[in-house]
Amino acid sequence: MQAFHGYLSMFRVKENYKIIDISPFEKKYIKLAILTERLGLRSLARYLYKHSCRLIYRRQKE
Amino acid sequence: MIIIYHCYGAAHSSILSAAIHLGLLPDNRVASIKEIKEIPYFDEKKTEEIGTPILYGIDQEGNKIYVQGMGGADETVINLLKDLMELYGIPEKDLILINALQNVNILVRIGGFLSRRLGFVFPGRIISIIGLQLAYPKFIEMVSRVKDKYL
Repeated sequence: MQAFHGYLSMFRVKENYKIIDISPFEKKYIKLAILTERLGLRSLARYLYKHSCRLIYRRQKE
Repeated sequence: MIIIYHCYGAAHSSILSAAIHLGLLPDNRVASIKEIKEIPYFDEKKTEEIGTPILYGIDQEGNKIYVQGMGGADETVINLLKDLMELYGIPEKDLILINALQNVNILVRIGGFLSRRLGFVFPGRIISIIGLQLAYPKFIEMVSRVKDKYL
């Protein structure tokens, strides 16, 4: 985050932005997706990533 | 143009490189312990400051010289930088990233660890300066390569 803020000021970018930490929502499905990706099961990993993103989206909307 | 010298904590090797680049340290001989100890920000950055790019000075050609500690997350930080540059339409040629850590020897690492991590500032600082003096020719070579290639 320090790098992010530092780069924006380095490039003189003055923009309103809001950072939302979604890591608390990245639970079992993301971990499972990472594991399956490492095992080479790409389609399953992609499905799990999508599913996890859907859950995050749903929670954010709530 | 922006030139970023980066290392682990922006306390030793990136600071030394930027200082050589800006002429704060000699580029024709090995700097003395006193000279190295007196350059701005040398062995000063705290762990919580890692990540922030710091404007160290502007060289004779008008290039902005930054130092940055990447805390070992070089790939992530560089990807972030590239994404931001793309997002805000900043051409890649306007920025040069130089990894100063490539010149570091074991003494600099031990000294840095003692001083910055464990708080043994005096012995840590001396050990890291001796390490930097031993590696000094490599730093001179790196900076002159940067100047020849990009400026």
